[in-house]
Amino acid sequence: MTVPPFPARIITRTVARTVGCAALACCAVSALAMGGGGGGGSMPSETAPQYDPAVEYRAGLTALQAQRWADAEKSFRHVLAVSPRDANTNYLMALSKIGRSDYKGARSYLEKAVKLEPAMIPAHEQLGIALAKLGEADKAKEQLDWFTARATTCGTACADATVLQQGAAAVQAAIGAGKQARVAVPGLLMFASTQAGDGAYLAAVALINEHRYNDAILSLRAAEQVFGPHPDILTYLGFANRKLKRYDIAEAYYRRALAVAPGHRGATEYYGEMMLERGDVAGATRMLAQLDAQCTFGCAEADELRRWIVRRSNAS
Amino acid sequence: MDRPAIKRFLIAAAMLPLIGAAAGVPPLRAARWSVPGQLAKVLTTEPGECLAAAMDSPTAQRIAIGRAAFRAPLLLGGQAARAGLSCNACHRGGHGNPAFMFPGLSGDPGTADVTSSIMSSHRGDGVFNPKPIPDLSGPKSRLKVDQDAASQQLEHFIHGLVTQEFDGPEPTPATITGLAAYVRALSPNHCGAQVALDLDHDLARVDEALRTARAVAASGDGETARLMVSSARSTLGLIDERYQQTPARRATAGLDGAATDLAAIERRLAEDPAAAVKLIDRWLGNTERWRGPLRAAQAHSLYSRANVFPRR
Repeated sequence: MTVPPFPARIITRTVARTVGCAALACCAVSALAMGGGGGGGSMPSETAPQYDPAVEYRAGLTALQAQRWADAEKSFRHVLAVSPRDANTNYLMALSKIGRSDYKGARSYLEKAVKLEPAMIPAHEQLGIALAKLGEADKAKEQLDWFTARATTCGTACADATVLQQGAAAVQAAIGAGKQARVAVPGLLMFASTQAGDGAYLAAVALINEHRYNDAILSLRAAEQVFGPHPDILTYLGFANRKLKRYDIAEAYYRRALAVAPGHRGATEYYGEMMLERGDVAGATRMLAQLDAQCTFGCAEADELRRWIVRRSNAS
Repeated sequence: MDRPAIKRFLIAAAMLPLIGAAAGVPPLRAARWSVPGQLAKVLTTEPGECLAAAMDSPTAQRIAIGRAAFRAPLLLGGQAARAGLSCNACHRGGHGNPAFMFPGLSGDPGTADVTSSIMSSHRGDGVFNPKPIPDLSGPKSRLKVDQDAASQQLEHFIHGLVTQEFDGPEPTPATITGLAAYVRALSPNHCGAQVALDLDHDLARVDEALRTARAVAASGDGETARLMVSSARSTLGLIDERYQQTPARRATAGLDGAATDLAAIERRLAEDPAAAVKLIDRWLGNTERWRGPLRAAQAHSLYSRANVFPRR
């Protein structure tokens, strides 16, 4: 399977400054920025602006917290241009719309968020409220039913019990108020702390090494909320799902990582390993060729994938 | 390991593979795991190596193998290799590294938790317990592992370190013997002066690793020779990063080709070590074409302290 083609991205220094150089975002700039500028004799499609989703995601969060709704919307639009299936970004885009009182616009992003991530409680809550505000009480009731069903399954002792209860109450109140419902952009605590995001990521790496893949996925998703569709996080989400034999999900994550950062070494290596696990030796060999082409001075990723291919070849 | 236990020690630094690229940090590999206040020292100098002369030629060869392996990130596996860490990252010039600071691994500067699941799938103990990185060139009595050759404890320790502490692939017997010989040859009675990290220093490392690779390949041990070549190739990468993002980057035009040729030699070593010897000879005899431009542009590269830390 080939990696989707993706032109070299162009990242402006302005964006990097905007996000205040959160460690990961700045690193992404450093790792991915290739300079830019038009008029170099290349085709427009090659020089059209492309965006680093991780940097744009942090910029969007910063703007959202400062209630600069238009700036937030612009940043999240850039993220979605590269990674349209990111549930967190769809949710945050919806919040930007809510900030501008564009409930119709928010609705579509919230619907997409809950479709991509059915367990995303805040998205269900905001969707229920937005629907009530739009006068669609029946649809809002569906969200309330979702909360009821979820709370029943969850029980009173589960970790989400309180959040579910609060979400249900908020949707219920909005349905009662109808078009007069008060709508406010909720807090972003779980999205905001880069420190917590770094911690979640490092914890995930450790959990993966301990073969606790389900726990690792939870940590990675927490990191993803903070950093958005960062290729390292997507790669490890792919890795953890692969170890749980969820190959289709793993493949989707690897492909998303490679769409965000074409040539990402970790994603290329692990995708190649998964191809071998699924019997696609030719695909794995193509992945290795890609790594060899970019690892001029040698790299562990190529070394490891080469070992996998040799082992496979010896075994057969 | 319970998650709260892990999180307790997580210092708010950065993401593992990407650390150190924040604004103002020089784009050099070692800067990723060094305390900012000591960057000037770490990026421009290395402690003098305390290497006792070998008693005989076979020992000299073993030490040379160990010296090159010590500087090869690919000796280590898992996260360490992916981050570009080699033994020399923690034990600069065969010493310790008071400036070492790796997110999730280090407490105080110069410490590392060698039982962390971040680096190892074997040795995680669920406790954040970083320890000072020992100076391998200090008195042997201060080191926890008995270095008496007869006991082979050092060899056993190094094997466990590579394969379990860092999840590395199984090293060859010659690599383990070489690393043990190198560590045994480090002695406080034979310390050289602090060295400046410049182009000639790194090129000498490349040449030494390749000459060692040649000798090892000639004896038929292609796998150990491959590690030596990978060490040389990695050092070429260290040279390359001193020129990238500077006006001197055009001087690296021949460097990529030199590294690509080494990749071809690595592949050849896996198939036919004897034939690879000729390729190594050819490579060593054909270096000036790409080294000349690098030397000429060195003052404009990040080998120059003034360029690493420009006045603002």
